[in-house]
Amino acid sequence: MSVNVWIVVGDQPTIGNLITVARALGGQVGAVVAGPRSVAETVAASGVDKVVWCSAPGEVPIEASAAAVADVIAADPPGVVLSGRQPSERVLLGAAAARLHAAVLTGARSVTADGDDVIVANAIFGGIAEETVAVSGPVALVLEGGPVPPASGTVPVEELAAVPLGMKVIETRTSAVDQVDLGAAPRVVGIGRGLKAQQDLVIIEALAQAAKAEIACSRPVAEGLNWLGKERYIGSSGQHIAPQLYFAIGISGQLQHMVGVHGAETIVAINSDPNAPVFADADYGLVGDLYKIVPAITGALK
Amino acid sequence: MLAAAVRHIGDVDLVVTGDSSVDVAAKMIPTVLAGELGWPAVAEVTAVSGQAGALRVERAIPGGVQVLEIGGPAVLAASADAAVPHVPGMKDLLAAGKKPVEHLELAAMNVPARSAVMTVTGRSRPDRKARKGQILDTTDPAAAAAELVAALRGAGAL
Repeated sequence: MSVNVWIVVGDQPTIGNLITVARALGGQVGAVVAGPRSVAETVAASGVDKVVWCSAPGEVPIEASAAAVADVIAADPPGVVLSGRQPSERVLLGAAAARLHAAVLTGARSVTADGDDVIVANAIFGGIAEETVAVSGPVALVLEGGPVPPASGTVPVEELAAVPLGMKVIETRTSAVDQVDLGAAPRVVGIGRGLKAQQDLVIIEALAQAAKAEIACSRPVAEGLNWLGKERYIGSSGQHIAPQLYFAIGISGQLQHMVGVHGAETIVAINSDPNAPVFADADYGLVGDLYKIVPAITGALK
Repeated sequence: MLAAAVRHIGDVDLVVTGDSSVDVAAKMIPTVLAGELGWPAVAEVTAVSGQAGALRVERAIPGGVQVLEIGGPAVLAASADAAVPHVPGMKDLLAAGKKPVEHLELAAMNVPARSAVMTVTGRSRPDRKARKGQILDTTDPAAAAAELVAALRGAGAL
């Protein structure tokens, strides 16, 4: 039996994976967008059947449209509601899930329809196991959004001038940091606590440049030490990527990190501890001092 | 259920939650709670100030911070690194024992029936890509590097 799906979108049209999952369920795929009109237009050209754009006046955050998004979805209740992992998208999804009294799962690896039920293979406990969950009734799923989908035909954008919740943006302070799309990088160099000092990042940057790779890290390097931005940390509660090549440097290889790169084609591990769990998860392992090995690899790449 | 409890307490200006639970780590309870209450919700909150009816909320965005003003009750989920936890001392623990705790009866609260039922039908280890597990000899880092680069190029990874 086919299942109708609503996709909830914030200010990023990075929903390629959501569309793929939705289409596989065989029913109608609608998208409700609470971001700029340009995002609604990109989504309208991405192969969905219907787009509703909740336009809000003034400087209001995405979250202010949560009630409006829930209204749109409740008016045409689906079997499944999907969103990506951005915090604002989770707020929109939560509003829809509450309105539908839907079940909520956030670790879906696959979603299929089976009669009246939706079957979800759901990763649990940081990815150490996978549960098969049969859901009867509506279900809200948080998934990796995926890349911006390619353009393929277009549907009209239905504008809904919604009354926003009472929130407004007072100030936005960003440092001049380049937005990185780790999910799109073919090669990624990950650094962990094996690096002794922040200034030593230069040797990692040199390798990344020589390998034409993006730089990422384990959670402590981003959240604890603040040496890299949070959008660069890979792990169960961070980025999940599947590049062609991943270097795990000075990373012990705990499950909480490795679950973010299990999809990588090739993994190279560099660690001074021969018993580090990372070596069990690597195609190529180099046991030794990263301060010697990393520059050597940079040199070999030139 | 949480929404019913908030409504029971009444006169609530703000619900603050953590980032997520340690086991499930869904980050969805605060957003669904806000949806049930019809209140604004913000996640990744790093600071709150102001007063009831005019909350000033700072939240993390990629590359920086955004400041919002919320004109009514809200649910705010703190970011995981919003604050360094204070370890309670003996005095705090003893004082906690004396604080009033109200017990709410589930049957007495107006909790709507579920619309969706989840049934776990199986559990397994996830399929993991088989890894070569090839350990290179690093006695000479330069030689190891050359061997690695050759292997990666041969495998089409570089």
